[in-house]
Amino acid sequence: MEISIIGLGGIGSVLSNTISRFLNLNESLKPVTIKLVDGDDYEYKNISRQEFFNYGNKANVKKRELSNRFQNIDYLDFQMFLDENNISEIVTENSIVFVSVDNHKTRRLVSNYAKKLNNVIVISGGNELTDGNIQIFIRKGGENVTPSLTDYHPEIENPLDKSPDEMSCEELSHAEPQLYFTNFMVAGHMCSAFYNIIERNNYKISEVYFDILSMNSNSKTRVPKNIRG
Amino acid sequence: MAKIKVISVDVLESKTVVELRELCKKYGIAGMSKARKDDIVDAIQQFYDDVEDSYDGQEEPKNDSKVPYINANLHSFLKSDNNYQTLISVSCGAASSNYPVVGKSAGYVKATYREILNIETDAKAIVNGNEVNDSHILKSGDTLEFVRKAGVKG
Repeated sequence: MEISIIGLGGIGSVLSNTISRFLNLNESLKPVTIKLVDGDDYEYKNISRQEFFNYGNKANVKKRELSNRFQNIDYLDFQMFLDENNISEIVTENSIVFVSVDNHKTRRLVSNYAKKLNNVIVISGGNELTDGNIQIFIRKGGENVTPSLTDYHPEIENPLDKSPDEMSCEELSHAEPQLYFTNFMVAGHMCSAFYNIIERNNYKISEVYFDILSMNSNSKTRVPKNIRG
Repeated sequence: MAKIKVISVDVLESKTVVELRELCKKYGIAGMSKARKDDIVDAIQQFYDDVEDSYDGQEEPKNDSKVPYINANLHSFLKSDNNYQTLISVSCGAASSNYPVVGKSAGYVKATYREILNIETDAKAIVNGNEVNDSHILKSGDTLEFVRKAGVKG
């Protein structure tokens, strides 16, 4: 099984630990390779909501950390932001791609690239301060089984934000406040989606929303629009 | 449920553009932020027509036939006048509830429940998993969702 985790911030740094623990002793899914993708550094300012043992490039630090803890999994670190030049190395046929980035432009890039593949599973998550959502885009045999990330989300199809490789240092250093619990909830729902698909063959759900103030979660089943790769 | 109070054309035309835009927001009429006054008034009148059509499309409840049981999942309930009213599940993001909106348009539901469910004025409506426009009339057993924007951060 080949897995990519794109973005190792508040969501991805937690998700990578949890997915690794689940897969490390799972005999039926061996061999497992996990690609860790992030061009950003783990710094002191991230300490309140990101899970790393050392400072440095997030993909590299996380690779070293997880390789020591989960020795049945092969880890590859991609110390770069995802872009059109490197996406073919990261989003591949028959892989499972977790998108835990902080911008819609990268979500669109992954979604559009996945539409060109025959078999791929994309699980994307994002949040605001106290609520968030995950989206599940499944392609099987060249068909969309669930809607793409852009199908019902014009804000992803026509993003107003920038991808990290387009941002200045000043823009990168400026971050809206986030809550660790909300990141944690997104990561948890992404893991639930993974488990439902891999272990339960449940392909029905295409999106899940949650709100930690009302403590509600709500799953959605939507019909994919006719977009073919 | 109380019907929407229809404002006459004369009164609408006496209002300022700002007041009319506020009214559009209240009704969930999108795309009016840069529209001319005449177009805004036309859009509001069209909204009233759609809502009126949705009332006309509603079947009168029958008093002469008794329903043997009430569905335990609460899709139906007994009103005070001994008539059964069907509820439809309406959601936006993590918020959801059941409302008596059979025969109403998706646009009417958006306008009526937008504050309760935190529905944005440009939110797409989805009925039973398929995208519909605001004039779509809801039937018994439908599930209505208004799409909430995806979270950006991670």
